[in-house]
Amino acid sequence: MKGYLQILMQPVLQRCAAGPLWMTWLLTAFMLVGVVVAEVVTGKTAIVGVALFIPLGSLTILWWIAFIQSAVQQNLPLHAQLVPQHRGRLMRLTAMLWLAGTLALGCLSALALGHFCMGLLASAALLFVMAVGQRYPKAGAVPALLVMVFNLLPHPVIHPWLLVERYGESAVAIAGLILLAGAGAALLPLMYLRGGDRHWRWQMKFAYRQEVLRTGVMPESGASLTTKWGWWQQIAYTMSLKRACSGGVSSARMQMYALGPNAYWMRYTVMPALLTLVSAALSILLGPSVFLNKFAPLYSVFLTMIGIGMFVQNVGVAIYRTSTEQGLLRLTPGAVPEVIFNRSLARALLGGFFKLWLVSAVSVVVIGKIFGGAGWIYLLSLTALLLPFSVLLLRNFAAMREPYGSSMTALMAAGALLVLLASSAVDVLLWSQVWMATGIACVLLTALLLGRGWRRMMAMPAAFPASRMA
Amino acid sequence: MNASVVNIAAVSKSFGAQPVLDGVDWNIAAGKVVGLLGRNGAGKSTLLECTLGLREVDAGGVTLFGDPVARLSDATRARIGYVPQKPELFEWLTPIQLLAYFQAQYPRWNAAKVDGLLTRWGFSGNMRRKPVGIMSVGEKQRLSIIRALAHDPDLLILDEPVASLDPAGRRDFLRELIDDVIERDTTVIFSTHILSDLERVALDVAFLKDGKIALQSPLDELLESARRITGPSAALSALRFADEIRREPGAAGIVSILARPSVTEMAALGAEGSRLQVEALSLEDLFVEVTK
Repeated sequence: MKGYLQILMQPVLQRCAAGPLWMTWLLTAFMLVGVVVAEVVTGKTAIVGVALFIPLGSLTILWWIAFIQSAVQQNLPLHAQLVPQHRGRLMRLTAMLWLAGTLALGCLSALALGHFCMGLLASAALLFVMAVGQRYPKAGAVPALLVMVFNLLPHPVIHPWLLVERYGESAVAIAGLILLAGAGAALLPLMYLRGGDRHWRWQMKFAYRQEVLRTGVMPESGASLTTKWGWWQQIAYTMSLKRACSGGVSSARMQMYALGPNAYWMRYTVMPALLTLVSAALSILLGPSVFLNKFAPLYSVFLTMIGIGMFVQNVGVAIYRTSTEQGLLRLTPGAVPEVIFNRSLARALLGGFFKLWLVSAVSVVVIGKIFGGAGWIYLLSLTALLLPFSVLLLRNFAAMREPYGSSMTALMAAGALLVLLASSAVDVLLWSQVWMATGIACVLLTALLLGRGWRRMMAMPAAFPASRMA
Repeated sequence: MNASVVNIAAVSKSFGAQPVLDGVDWNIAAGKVVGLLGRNGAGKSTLLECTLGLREVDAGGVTLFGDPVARLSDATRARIGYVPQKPELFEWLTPIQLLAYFQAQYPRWNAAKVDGLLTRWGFSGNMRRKPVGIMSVGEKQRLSIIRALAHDPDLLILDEPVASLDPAGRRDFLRELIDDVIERDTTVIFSTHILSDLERVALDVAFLKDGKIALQSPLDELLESARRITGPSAALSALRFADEIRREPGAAGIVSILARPSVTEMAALGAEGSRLQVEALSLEDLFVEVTK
């Protein structure tokens, strides 16, 4: 029993060590206040159920993720192999907590929505995907893919709602739960590996992801350097570097190569290029589709926005991480003189940003043309919303304490999603001139911000080696 | 008298409220091989970074080959080699790409030497195509040293270069340093904690303590002349040495003096007879005593 208790204590201790449990207390307070207010004001069970469902459901999910993260972390190859019963306890606890969480969320959804069986199935599936996602991160995309498939197939043979209509909620829920339990039993030993090379490799990847989440800084992944995908991703950088090394390139450009492929703008053009190609292929293969016409251009805007956000973030991370390299370069003959250093760096960074933006904007407009669901002014104006972020590249790198974390990209992603959802709801109501005005306003705002940022950066100490004055 | 290659005058540097260097004065003549010693956190890396202009100093100034570090000419830069303490360099490149990158920036590049070092130091075959990011720390350090030696620098600054090398790697590196670098009259500043390596390589040693160079001397002279003199305070209180490094009162009225007595002073010590204990010191003893 003590063994189980120790395992269960770890996520709590880890969270406490990371800071106060403000999210837990906030949700608990929100739940208590919500339930009291709902009961006093409405007295309706459904409203009270909703007041319970949202915070308690969030709490359940929050702690489920915390448990799974902690459990896979506790299952170090060393422990999995040598500590008696440790791995077995982890697997049994995962199964028990999955059942408990499913039951809790099912009951809450019955209270709030009146659908116990479907609530149970949806909760079980959600917790399942979250758990499997810790081991196989790509599994997180499965629900989105299923939604797309069900919406794209002209005559779906198996559709959840068709099944519910035919067999009833209970039967579908029971069948679904049995399927999930079977899949869970098969996947548990894969989630909790027992030593060996595969376990070590996985543990390295997991530690890498945890580091990214914890610090917001993407450490250089040794694994990515040896994969074919990693090789493809940096092929443009490598080729450009090879050309530069054979001569005739300014020292300012050579300085940019020292930041590595993550800070090379061309790397991020892969996404818009791929999106354009996939869009063209889909439109040829599937023909006209209401779903694609509406969502494909917006989805491409979203992805390109994320790509540009990642570029801005990764430039900061690369500058932060490569200060040793910058020091070596500063000692090379022909290094950019200190008095013009910031100017040449700012020009190179902004040049990369605007080239990437241009490629992304062209790609979005082309995708819009392919599907015909959205006007080019509207799409171009949406991408123009990203232009002001260019000013984030002009900062006092010499005194930088830390780069922008992944929270900045997450914030941009959330913002982009909100803007897209809002714009997709109102675009039909607005004239194209309004979108054009929005785009122009963004350009003007960018010019204003860049003017200020530029003057400030020129007055700062030479940017490299970064963080030396932090 | 050789011209001064490194001239550090009254350099001070703090990180926030924590002073690290406190008015360091240090001159290094051409062809000197100096071992820089100091305890952990004494500021050795900071001093080397300030020397190279990689960190701004709060006060004072540094010149390298006569150029102020803030305005090094290209010709001067081409004469400097540096091995940083942290060998994580250009993790996304292979050794060949990394060296090609630097080759493109130096007017002088000893390709034959690079090729020889790569082969001798284990970078042959697939190792030359292995990304730096997945190399071991020792391999990265060896590559970092090759990169620093490739343009035959006249001034080589090494910040704990052998800390992560295995004994064979250390032996190879020291052989290279002695046979090629020092033979060419290169000026070397070498920070390390491995004193046996320093004894093989360094001609001079400098001890950094409390933000200052507490002692600098040719190593042989220092080892030959430094003595720890221990005895009752009554016997030692009257004794004063021209080159006294430290005097420390101990328990039960015993005093310990670290000094470099002259011939006359040694004779005076002999006259004191058995009341005093006079010991010659090893470099390790000296390190402990000077940096205490």
